[in-house]
Amino acid sequence: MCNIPARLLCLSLYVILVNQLAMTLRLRAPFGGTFLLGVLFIPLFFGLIEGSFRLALVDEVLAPPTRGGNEDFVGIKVDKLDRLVTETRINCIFIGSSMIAYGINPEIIGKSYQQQTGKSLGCYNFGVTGATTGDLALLAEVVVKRYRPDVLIVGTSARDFSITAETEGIDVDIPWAHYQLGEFSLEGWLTDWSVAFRYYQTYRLWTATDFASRIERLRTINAKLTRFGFFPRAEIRDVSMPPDPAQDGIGHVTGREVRKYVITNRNRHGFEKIMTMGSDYKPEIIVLEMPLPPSYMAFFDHPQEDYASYIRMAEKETLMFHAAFIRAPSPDLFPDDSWFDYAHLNKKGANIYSDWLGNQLAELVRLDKLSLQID
Amino acid sequence: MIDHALFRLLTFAPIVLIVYYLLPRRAQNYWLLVTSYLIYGIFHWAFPIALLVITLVNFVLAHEIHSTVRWRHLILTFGIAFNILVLLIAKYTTTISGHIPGPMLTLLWRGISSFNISPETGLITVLLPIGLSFRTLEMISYLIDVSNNRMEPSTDLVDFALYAVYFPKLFAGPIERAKTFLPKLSNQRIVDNDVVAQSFTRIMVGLVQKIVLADTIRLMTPPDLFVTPLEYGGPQLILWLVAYTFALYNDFAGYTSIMRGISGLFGIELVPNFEQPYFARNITEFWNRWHMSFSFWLRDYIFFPVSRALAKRIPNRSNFIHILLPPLITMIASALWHEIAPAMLLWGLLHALYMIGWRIAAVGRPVVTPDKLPAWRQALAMMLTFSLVTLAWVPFALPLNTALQYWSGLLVWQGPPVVDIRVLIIIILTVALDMVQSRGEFAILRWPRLAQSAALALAIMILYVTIKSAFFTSAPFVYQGF
Repeated sequence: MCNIPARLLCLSLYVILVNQLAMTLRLRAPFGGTFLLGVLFIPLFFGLIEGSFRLALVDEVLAPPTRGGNEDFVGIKVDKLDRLVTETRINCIFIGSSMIAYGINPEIIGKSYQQQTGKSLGCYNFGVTGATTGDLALLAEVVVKRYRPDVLIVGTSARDFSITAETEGIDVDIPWAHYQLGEFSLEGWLTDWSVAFRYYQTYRLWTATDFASRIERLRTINAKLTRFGFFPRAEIRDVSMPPDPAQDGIGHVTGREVRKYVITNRNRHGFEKIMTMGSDYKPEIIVLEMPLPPSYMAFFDHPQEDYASYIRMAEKETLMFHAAFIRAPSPDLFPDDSWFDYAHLNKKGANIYSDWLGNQLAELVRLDKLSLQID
Repeated sequence: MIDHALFRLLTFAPIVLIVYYLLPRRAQNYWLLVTSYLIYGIFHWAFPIALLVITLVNFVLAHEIHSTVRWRHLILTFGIAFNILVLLIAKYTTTISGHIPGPMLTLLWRGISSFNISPETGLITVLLPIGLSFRTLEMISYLIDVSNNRMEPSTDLVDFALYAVYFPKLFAGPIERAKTFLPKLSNQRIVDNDVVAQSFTRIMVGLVQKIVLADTIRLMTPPDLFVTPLEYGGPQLILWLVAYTFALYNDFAGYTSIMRGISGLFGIELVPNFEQPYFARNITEFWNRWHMSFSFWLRDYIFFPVSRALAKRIPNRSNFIHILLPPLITMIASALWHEIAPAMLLWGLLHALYMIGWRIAAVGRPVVTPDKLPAWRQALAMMLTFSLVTLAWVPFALPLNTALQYWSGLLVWQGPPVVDIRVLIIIILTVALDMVQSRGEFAILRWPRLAQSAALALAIMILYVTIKSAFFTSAPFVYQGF
């Protein structure tokens, strides 16, 4: 088809427009060189920054790198676990909230288990403060996929399922976690690959008013966390008397989390998702009811019913997935100076509980309720 | 996260620009006029109507002023009163009770200020058209210039309407004079390599100033510091006051730089507004470097006329009235233009006091320009001027009671001096940027190409890192509120 008038019209229009363009915009070649060079400088600078951040010296000066989100534990725990798996075999990973982070000493569990069975059990504590089971579903999948443990032990408590803990919770829905599960994103990839970007994830909160305290917190966590991920709390709290929410800061928070107790769908589904990992990735799953002092019950509006609803749900789900559910030991196991606060064991309490738990795991193996095919 | 309207302009501008380049000069003005009204209408449909009414009234008044000698002063007075009244109505009638009588008045009112009527209370909430304060000054200066035969009234309504609504200067200036701006609209614009380089330099510098240096300080500042200052010790109040001082400067200077850069791409040069104001070595020099288009307006249309009027009555220039009245009236007018509020008045009075003090100290002494002072005296004078200006920002930023509390809090010295490394870095970056720019606005463009490219790459990376920071939100420009 040769439509000459139309072509002529187009050509004329083109000439007019180009001519018109040149009336105002009078660029002379070459142009844009500075800009292009600037764009080329960006990867060069990034490479230089990355190189300098990989120097060991940076570790001494800066707060530990993180993986994004607003919580403090995931990045540090991943880095410590990455180092640990190069040194020793880790076949058992604990996940849960701060009750796990402060309440499980993997070294004691390993020793106790070895005493009972003669076999070694390398465990790592991946407890993340503030996490609910809804948050943990994603992290558990990342941990299981990345480290392939033989057993995943999920520490639970009533607050982990509660609506208040969920609404006041932390943000672990981070691009890095999704990248680990195969969902590509630039931020996820950069966080995984680049040391400098992981430091940036730490300092990206630099405009927050509480930035200095967060940096201090990260340094403290990094310094205190053992290489097995345990965060020992030395503080002792007398929990023999019921808490006074008005005067007790942490008690107040703890109390708020379970006062009007409702189990949310997100947390229930999160828990179910964790349980399905037994079939998806083949680790054995064990669920723990974390120990609490009897005075903790004072935080519930309806102590018996509320706590029973949590136990019923946890036991039912665990049974449904043919996993083991280990109930908390009697409170008598813990001396008065075993508590960090009304919801958490301190170092002494954690060691007592870990020793007890090591024995329980050995007992489950002896009864063939747990295979734990560990050398 | 950057989501406020002015940054949407940055995404809007390229489309406007492409069409603009394809049009002949006359059509370019039509295009700019239409797009400017559209942009203004994004904020509220009634804003363009208000501006159109103001534009038409002033266009007609200028011709009336020019065509008569007998009624010239009367019409000029009416014109000034009209512009001020419109501003006052829109700015200070934030809530009024009852109903507005009559459909015509309702339409006019809606055009002037737009409003929402609460169905429960019957209260009418009036919204100030953005940038109206700036338009008022432009219109008044236009009428005065025509009245004083400094310029002919514009015969081109499209150009004049564009002068009033041109979107890069629409929201917070700079305040352009019709005498210099209108010829730019009637001439062919040329955008060559140099203009493009200069415009992008301005945009990048402005973005760094606004996003990296201003918004971050706002986010870092404890939220209740400016609400309950007495809960903080003196060292902290000093730290955050200095931080605010730099944030305010970077916010407004950044805005101006971005808008001048955008306008440059249209081939229309806007007047500068800042010239390293915190390097000023006396208060007069500060006002010659801070919000220059506004302070020069005050100088030309208030300070000089008052001085001339006084000179006619009191020829002795050393007379105290000569020293006192011009700065006092000028700075009170400046304060009232910002806001009719006791604290703002106090800010204006303080600056008037500084100027009067400076003028008294200068009486009978030979005039020595600050550049000729020894370096140590320049540094000392710079620190003194900075301190005085910083103290005066307290009533500028806060209501009177809170400002007084803030000042009294500064005297309570509890604990060691507080240094926030983040604020320190921002101050160092601001001073470094100002030092580079003090060698010429485009000193960067004289650097070797490699250095320019490296600076550009660093600026892009810093901007990215800041914008991607957690919690980052960019606030509307401070001066957009006036």
